[in-house]
Amino acid sequence: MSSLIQQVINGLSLGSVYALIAVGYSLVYSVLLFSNFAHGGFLVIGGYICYYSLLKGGANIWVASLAALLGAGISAMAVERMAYKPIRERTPITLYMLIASMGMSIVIENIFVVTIGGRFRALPPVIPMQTVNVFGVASTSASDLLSLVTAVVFLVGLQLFLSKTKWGLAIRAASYSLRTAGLMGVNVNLLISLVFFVAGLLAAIGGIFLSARYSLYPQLGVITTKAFVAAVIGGLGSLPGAVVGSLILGLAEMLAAGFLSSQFRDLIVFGLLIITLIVRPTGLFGKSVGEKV
Amino acid sequence: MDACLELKGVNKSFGGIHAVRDMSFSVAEGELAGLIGPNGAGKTTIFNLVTGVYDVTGGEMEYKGANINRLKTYQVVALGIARTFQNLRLFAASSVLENVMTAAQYHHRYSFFEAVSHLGRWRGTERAIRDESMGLLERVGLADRAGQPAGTLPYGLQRRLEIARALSLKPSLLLLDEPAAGMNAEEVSTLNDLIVKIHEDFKLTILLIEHHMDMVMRICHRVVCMNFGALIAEGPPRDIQGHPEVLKAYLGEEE
Amino acid sequence: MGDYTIGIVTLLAINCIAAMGVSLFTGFTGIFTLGHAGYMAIGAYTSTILIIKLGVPWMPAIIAGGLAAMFFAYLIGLPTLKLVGDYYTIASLGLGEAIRLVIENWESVTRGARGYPGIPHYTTAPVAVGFMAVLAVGMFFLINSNYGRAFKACRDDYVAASLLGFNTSRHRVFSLAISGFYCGVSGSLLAGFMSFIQPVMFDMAKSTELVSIVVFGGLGSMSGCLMGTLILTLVTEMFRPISQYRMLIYGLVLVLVMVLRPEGLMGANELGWDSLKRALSRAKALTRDTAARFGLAGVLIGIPVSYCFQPSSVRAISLAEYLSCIPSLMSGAVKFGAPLHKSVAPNAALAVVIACAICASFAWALGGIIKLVKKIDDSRAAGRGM
Repeated sequence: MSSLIQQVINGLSLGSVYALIAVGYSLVYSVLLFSNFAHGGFLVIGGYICYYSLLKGGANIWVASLAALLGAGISAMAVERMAYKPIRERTPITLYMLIASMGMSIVIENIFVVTIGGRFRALPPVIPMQTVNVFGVASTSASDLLSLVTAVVFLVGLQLFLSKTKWGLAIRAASYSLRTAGLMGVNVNLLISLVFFVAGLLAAIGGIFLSARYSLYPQLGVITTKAFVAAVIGGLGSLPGAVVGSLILGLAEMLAAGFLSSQFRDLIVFGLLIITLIVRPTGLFGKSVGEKV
Repeated sequence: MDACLELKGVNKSFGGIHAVRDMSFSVAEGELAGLIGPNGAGKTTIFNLVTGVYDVTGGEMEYKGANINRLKTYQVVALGIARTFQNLRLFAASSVLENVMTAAQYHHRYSFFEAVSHLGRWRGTERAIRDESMGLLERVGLADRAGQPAGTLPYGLQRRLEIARALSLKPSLLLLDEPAAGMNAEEVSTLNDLIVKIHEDFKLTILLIEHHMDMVMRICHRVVCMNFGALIAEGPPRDIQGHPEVLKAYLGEEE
Repeated sequence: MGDYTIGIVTLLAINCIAAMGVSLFTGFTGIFTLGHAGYMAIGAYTSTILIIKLGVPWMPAIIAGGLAAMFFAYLIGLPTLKLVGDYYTIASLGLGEAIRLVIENWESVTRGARGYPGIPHYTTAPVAVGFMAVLAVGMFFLINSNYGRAFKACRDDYVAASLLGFNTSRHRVFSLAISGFYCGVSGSLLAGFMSFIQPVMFDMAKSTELVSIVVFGGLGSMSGCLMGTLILTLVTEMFRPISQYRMLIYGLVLVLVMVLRPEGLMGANELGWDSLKRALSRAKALTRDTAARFGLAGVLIGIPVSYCFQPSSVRAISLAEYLSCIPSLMSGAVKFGAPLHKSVAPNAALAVVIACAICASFAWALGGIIKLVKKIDDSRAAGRGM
């Protein structure tokens, strides 16, 4: 029983990290209607910035995290400006942006491979790892609880930003129709940059926790595939869907790892994706894709 | 006359917005009917419901007596319904001829093995598709532009191409969504002739959405007018023209 | 031809087959994929197991490999291709991984991660080239038929296509199945060529290579896909010594082609008389372009300049011989890094290529600056005239 509760807590914690990544990805999808596969790159960039500012810069964890968040956000904006802006300004075909994003993801990953090498690096022990007893029924690691709490804080923050601020309103408007938002006087380029900044920032938090949980290496971004799957399960482009999908996926993964075999984790993820697409192709919260004809 | 298309109390809502409300009208076999109404009245939504792009929320749609509520878009085509689009949906990069051939092949099939080997029926069928498509392009006056990419045609000709493409499906009901949008008076008048002529020659039933009121009045046998998703008037053009509700819909209420 | 060249030709043919499959799906049906190496793996393992465990002759085994991959692609396509392509793309990211996991863990049949050795070497150059020729003709014919038009219609506007009577999701699944068949055959041939297969041979890098080729060659052009295979395979062979940059280059190809020339090498055009004429007229127009003229001058200057600055051992050979080395270098017949006396020619050729590139790009930039200055002058003059 206690091991079940422990796995559930672990699952929720992992799921909340996925949620941070998936929400950013869904945000970009809802505005630009393409799958930004370079999203994993932002996560890795954040991870490495955090690593190097801790190790070489001698910064404490707060400064390092802040640097990582800003760095990843800015590089996300830069990627959008360099790779996607020229495409979206010329053609409405989102396939081109999707291909460019896939290219960008490979480029970011391999820039790290050729410059600092592909070896695994452990983040210095700045995130508490000791075992914590939860209400006397289960024990889990402090980092799991910390990531759960941080994720909730940032997701609530994002929700407030989207619902209470002017720019949040503009982003929500753009997710219905970017063109109309543009016609209403919203600076579309600035808005898209902002969306990418937020997405990069959220990905960086995920990156820091993932590199603390596993370790840091250039291919860490591949893990975003799971966040993509989570976003599909929840419904592409839906933010609540992304969160719920992530939690489901995190739980399924940890329960599979705990009670079956850790080798089945990835197969479970893939299986869940296929089942979702068979049973409910638009995901849990997805609107059916109605197109203006 | 038998009804070709009949809508009985059709409803469609998107979230809380009622795009079409309790809409009932019918188009008789062989009729050339017009569907008019101010912008946002739900005319195109009616077309989308009939062709299965959207699912109806309530009510019944019948085509030649058979219910078409749940049919998918390609199944609707199989029944003999074809349409054009308000904001053109041509395959812009493909040639004019290829656009029509893509649709014309619907009635000319050959097997996969004939396709990969170019043996058997391939040659004859391809020629038949090509000849038929060229014939239709001649009908709409685009034969000399057959090789040009469709996206490079002037607007008016793109609309004609859409008509040719829809005709190549050999429909019995043709839905035209603003075929004269963006045309000048002269182009509208030649388009009038074209529509009347294909209506006769192909023995079609046509339902057309149009804003050029003089065009509707001149060629339509009967006009259906809607506003805010609901039917407000129906009858011969002459009656509709002076109908107070219609005038109100178009000119707005007097303060 | 040496063994090495024959090897390259065989590999080219094998890659071509897989790239044609991806081209049909991504280029003509418009759905991006990063899992097609998985279908190659299915083909490779199916035919290997059939040949080694069941003693099936290689020819039917190759076909069976293709059919197995086709069947699997069909099964994957049914749920994932109901809606727009993004769903399949995300699924394809997990697909390759899932297939690799199954192969690694099903050791009784696949021998796991260590790989499957001892496959008879049935893929000789004629076999590979023969398969490629037959499959290429089939693909060209398929594109020029009802099916090709249907795929393109579903790609360009699936709503319009469905209103022209096409069941778009069925066409997508069909296209995926065919492309799965091509990749399966390619994988079967690869197994017979390498005599040894291992799950890591069919990893994400292989999938990326395939789509890079297709994007580079031009989405919607089969001849572009063949040329893309030729160029990218040779370039990766040429740069084998710096193979750690390989993935970086693929990534850059994807981004740069999309940003600068989304239509790729060939656009949606096929190699033929028309496109040749177009290319000629474009070349003619280029000679009227200042920047291009300077670039050409740069190449012409670059050759003698690079020749003069070569070590005396290189200048011992004639200029003609020197130039003739370029193709042999390109085909990989001579490798870098061999002792000087053997590698005089390739080093020289490399020097020519580099010198030409440097001179040309300098000259090109110079021409561009001149043009820009002229334009500014012109606008000034126009301003004065007003």
